[in-house]
Amino acid sequence: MNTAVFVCGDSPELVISAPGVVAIEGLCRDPSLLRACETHPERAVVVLHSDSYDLSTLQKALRSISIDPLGVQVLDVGSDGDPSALSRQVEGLIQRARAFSGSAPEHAKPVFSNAVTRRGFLRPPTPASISAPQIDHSTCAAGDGCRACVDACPQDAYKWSAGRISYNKDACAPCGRCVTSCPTAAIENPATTFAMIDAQVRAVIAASDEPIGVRFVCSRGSVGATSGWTEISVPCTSMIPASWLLACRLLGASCVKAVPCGDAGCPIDGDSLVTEASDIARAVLEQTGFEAAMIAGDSLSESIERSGTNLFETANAADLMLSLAAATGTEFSVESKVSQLGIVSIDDTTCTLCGQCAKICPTNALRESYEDGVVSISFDAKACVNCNQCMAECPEIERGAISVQGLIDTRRLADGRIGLNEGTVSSCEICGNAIAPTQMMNRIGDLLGEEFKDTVRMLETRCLDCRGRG
Amino acid sequence: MTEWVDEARARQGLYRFIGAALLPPERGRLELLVAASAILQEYDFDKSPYSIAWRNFVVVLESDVSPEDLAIEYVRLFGVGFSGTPAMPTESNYRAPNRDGAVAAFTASLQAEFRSMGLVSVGGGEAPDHISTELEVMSYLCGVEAESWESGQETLAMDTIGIESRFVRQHLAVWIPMFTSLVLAARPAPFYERASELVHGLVIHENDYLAGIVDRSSEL
Repeated sequence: MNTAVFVCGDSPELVISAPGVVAIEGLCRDPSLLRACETHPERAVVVLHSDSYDLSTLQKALRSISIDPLGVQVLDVGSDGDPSALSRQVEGLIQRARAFSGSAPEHAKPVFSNAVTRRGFLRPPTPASISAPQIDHSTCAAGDGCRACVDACPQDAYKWSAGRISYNKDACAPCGRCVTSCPTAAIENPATTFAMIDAQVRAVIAASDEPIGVRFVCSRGSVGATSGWTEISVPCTSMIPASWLLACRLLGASCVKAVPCGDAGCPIDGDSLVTEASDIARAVLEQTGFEAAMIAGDSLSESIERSGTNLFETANAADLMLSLAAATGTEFSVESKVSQLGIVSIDDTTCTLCGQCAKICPTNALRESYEDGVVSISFDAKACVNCNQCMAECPEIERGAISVQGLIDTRRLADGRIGLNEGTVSSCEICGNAIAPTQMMNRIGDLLGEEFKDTVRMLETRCLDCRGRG
Repeated sequence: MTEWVDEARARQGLYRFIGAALLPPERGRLELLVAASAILQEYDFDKSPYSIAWRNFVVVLESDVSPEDLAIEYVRLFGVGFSGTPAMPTESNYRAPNRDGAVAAFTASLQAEFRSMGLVSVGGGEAPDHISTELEVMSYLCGVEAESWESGQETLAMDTIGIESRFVRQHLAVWIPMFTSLVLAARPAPFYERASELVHGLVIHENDYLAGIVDRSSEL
């Protein structure tokens, strides 16, 4: 893919010499100079030395040369960046820009200047665009009742109604939590996809001859090129799950960090999530003796890297943990409420086998099956994303029929699918067809009591079709 | 206020332009579209995310499009065939409940809305809820807005932006994305592919942009 790097030429010592680099003097002061550019790349990285540029002017100039601004990586390196760190950073951004797969009109969220003055109304506003998420309703599990994005969103931008999620772009200050918490990867923010993060992390690590640290930073904060570290910008660091931090280590980063913006006025307020994700990652590394294995020279990442698996995808978190366990030859178990993986338990004395948990489970970690008059609920820990939707849907939750523990346990992950509960199914006395799980019918009988024993008897012995017969 | 006037006039022209592009193709109309695009290109649409779609459409328009081929494609996409219509270009098809009389009731309420804007249907053209009619209504509103700015009636201009915003939010932005996704799914000829991308980008941006202006004006 044809990718250009537009660099402000005002600080010649920071102009990188590489193919595709176009130095433009005065670009920081006047981004519209891009309009005169004769190259017409499909993707671009813009390197500036000042953060005082006008984003809407830059985006306007990019559109004039037919580049989608939402896919453009802008790097503000200040005036005293480290040139080698800068080259590495730029290489990462080039790969990230190339992994951008385009945006739809719905992804652009205009951001108007905060200053509201009468003078400001002398001319129409020129809002900058930021990238906002959108839902792919064809893969969204809301139809089964999933509300994971509603639970994750700190700004109430998502609402669930009648099996469909609605999204309010006005309410959303994109933080990305919906993206990493969606069990079916139905929500995508085109400026921060799993593929883009994967491409950037791999590129910056490959571009460095020395040990390099990866630092995830909030896009609202400043990003710089610092010796020994490379920065990966995300909408908000509270979107980062522990598996992203571990993925960076597995891919070869010598250390990894998620840095909250520290802005007291931040509407997202996700610092505690960053801390918890870091704690999980740290606990995993400690239990696996990861550091010792690295020092011993084991190439932990080789097999994973060769496979080309995207370790940043939510669906691959379990595989990442198992790979880590295999590579270090250890088993580990880390518990946290915000864990990306979970373990479901069912109390067979209170579960009625109604199957609601399996119906709502967006990843099919829970599955209901019926065979030879026996109904069963099974569970695959590798598929569970700790979304707790099963608990929300269970009609017997008050009696503790189901519980989810936020737990990364490699032994449980390796177990594969296991049975959690099973029971017989009542059959119709007349036609022989299945009516419902016996445990469910018993529960209905208990709720209705003696007073309705005839009704209960009829419900237990007749299917819907045969209830009117003799 | 010159820039407000210019912007309103450009939007007036763009709505009329894309509305006309989605009418049944005729040689004369295509020639007018080419001439209109040359005028519209004088305006800088690059501040809006749909500007790339706009340029892409102009490229197709200027590529010597055959009216006969377009007419065949128009009928395939928007006409009623044995297997239905790939993409109905009327709002009621997406919004009216599926029961007898619902389309008529929907259209009547839309016409009442048009009357409240000072527009009366004289018949003979496309249906009131046809995409071209609704885009033409937006063009009319932008024209009213431009005249208000020109005559120094800023409050009236802002009120008109409020009406535009409401009309886009309640109508265009609701059904046009569904319509354009159907058009694109039908693998249309480049002319209708690019036109769909443009009208989709336009209404989504206008929905956000006009709402943003209305919000800001209420803070003053």
